[in-house]
Amino acid sequence: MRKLQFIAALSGAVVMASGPVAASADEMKTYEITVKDKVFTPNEITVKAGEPFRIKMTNANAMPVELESSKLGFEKVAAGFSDILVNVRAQAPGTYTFFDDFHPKETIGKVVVQ
Amino acid sequence: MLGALIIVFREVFEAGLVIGIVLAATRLVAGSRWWIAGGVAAGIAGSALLAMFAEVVSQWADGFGQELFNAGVLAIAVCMLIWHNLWMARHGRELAAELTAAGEAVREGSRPLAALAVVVGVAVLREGAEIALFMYGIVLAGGDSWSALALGSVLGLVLGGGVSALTYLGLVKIPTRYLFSVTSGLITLLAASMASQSAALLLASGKVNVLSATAWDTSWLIDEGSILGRLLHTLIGYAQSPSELQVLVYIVTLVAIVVLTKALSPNHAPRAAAAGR
Repeated sequence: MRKLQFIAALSGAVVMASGPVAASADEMKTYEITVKDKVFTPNEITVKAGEPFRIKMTNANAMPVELESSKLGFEKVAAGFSDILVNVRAQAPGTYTFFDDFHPKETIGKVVVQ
Repeated sequence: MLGALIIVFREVFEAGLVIGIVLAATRLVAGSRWWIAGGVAAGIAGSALLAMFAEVVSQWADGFGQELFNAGVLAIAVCMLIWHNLWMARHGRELAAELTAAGEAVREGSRPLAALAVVVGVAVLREGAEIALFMYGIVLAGGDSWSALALGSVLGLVLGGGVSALTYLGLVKIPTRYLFSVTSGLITLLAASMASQSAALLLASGKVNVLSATAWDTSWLIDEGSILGRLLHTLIGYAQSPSELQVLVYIVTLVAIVVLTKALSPNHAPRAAAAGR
C-alpha cells in the first residue's frame, strides 16, 4: 500500500516536473475568498489535483473567523477586518469542505479538486 | 450563549488538561502552585497581547507569522518538558523516598518549576489568543446578544478550569510512588505531541518542505474534531492525517526522551558498574 502510494507520488512528481509550471512557493496559485455575515464568497473553489495551492481569506466582519479544514490540513484565525493566507498540500480529486470554526455549522465552503 | 460556551470550552480544553497534569506532577512540591499560577497568568497576559497584535504577527514571514510563532513557542515548551523529565529521572527517586519517609512537602530545591511554568504559559497562550480574539470580537460586534455571548464565554472558561480540576483529582488518586512514573510518562507523550504539532506548523508555513506527504489518514476511525479526538490530540498527539515529518519528529522526540531518561537514571549507572566488577 505504502509502495503504491510512493509510486503514485513519484509518477505525479514526474508529470508535474515535465509540465510547464514548476510549483514553487511564489508561483503557487492563490484563491481568494471573503467572509462576511457568516457567508464565504465564493463558497466553492475549483482547483487542480496534485498541485499545492493557497487560499487567501479576507474577513470583512468585526468578529474573528477561524478558517479550518481537517481534511485540507489548515486551521488559522483571522482577526476582525484582516486577511490571512493558508498553504494547502497537493490533493487527490474530490470535494473537501472548510468552515469557520467559530460557526462550524453555518459558515461552510468547499474546495473541488479535479 | 451555548455556541460561545462550546467554542471557548473547546479552546481551553487542551490547556486545561496540561495544567491538570502539571499540577499533579508537582503535587507536594513547595511553591509549585505559585509557579503554575504564574505560568497561567503570563499565558493569559500573553494571549491578550497576541490578540491585540494578531494582525502584525500575521503579516510576518510573508503572511505566515502565526504559524512560525506558534511553532517556536511549542518548541520552547518541548525543551522545557524534556528538561523536567531528565531532572526527574535524576532526582525523582530521592523525592519519592523523601516524601514517604518524612511525609512532608519537599523543599523547593533546584526542581525546574520554572520550566513547567513556561509549559503551562505556552499551553494557555496557544489557545488563549484565539479566545481573546473571539471575546474581543463579541464586545466589538455589540448588539443585543453580546451579554449572552459573554456569559457563555465565561462559563466556557469555568468549564475549562473544571477539566484541570478533574485531571488533577484523577491523577492524585494514584499512590505517590507510582505518581511520578505516571506523570513522567504523560509529560513524555505531551512533549512528543507538542514537537509534532510544531513540525506541522512549520510545514503549514511553507518555509519547511520536507516529508510533507500525508503518512496515513485515520479520520474514518477518530475524527480530530470530536471530544475523543481532541483528548487524544492533547494527550498523545493524535492527528487524523499527519505528515511524514510529523510522524518522524514524534518518534524521534519520544525515543530521545526515553533513551536520555534511562541514561540519566541514578539506578542505571551503578548497576552497570556493579555488573562490570
